[in-house]
Amino acid sequence: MNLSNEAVPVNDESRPEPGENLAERLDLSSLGGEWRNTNTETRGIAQIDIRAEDAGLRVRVYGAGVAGVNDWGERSVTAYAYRVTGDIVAGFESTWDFGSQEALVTAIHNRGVLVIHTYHRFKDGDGRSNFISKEFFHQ
Amino acid sequence: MTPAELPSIKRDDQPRVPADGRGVDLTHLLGTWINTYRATRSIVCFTLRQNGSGYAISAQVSGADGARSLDLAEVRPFSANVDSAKADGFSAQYDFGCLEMLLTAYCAKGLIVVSQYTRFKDGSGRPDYFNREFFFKEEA
Repeated sequence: MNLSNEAVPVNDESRPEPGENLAERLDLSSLGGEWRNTNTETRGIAQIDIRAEDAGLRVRVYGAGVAGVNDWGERSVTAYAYRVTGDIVAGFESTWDFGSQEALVTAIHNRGVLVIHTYHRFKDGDGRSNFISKEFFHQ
Repeated sequence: MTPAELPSIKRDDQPRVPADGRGVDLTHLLGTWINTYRATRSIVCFTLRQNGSGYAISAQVSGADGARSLDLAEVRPFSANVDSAKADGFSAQYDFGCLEMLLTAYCAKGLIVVSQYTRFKDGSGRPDYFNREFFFKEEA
């Protein structure tokens, strides 16, 4: 595809600069494994397990519950490079839908720390405020 | 429902006081925000505004022929915790056909930190990519 003829050029950085080439594949391996919250007393996400597969990333989230952890289940997520010509995974995002609320989980890997921002949206009209939770995870 | 009866996926989604359902107020963040990095190849600046009973964002992005405007997009405000009604960030979503762009943003020491998650749908082989930039508020 000739990217210079893209019908809707959104911004400059969505295309390689002159002389740059796209990577053949995105290396997902740096995110694989168990990630534990740096705050052992968290009331948010306790742990995140990531499997790096040929088809992409599979992520399981464990929320810190009153009586142990709440398993949110495993799902495929969208993996992102650091830039459009990048070959190393930067992080991922995906939304877990629980019916009464949904949680958009965004994750960025930075020097051995996985920075997680979770955007909670309540859908059941119970009056709770939609909120952001920011947490840090290590292996 | 009392807080203890609310469905929960983790402990911090439980209010400490009964929820009053006011919704999250973004008023203090309305206005124009400018990228701290003047040579950005992405969002140059954006404006948060009231839009009916909600909020919207209009953004200008860097292009070969100078900055161009993106269409107005709905903004979803988020507070810092489940008990607060004051926005600490927001999300917005664009769909340009060939690509989608999710914006997530939070406040930090007078700045708004905006993360962009760009996902391609055009089969061009470009990897989905992430970008994070910092914006300061334009003085009135």
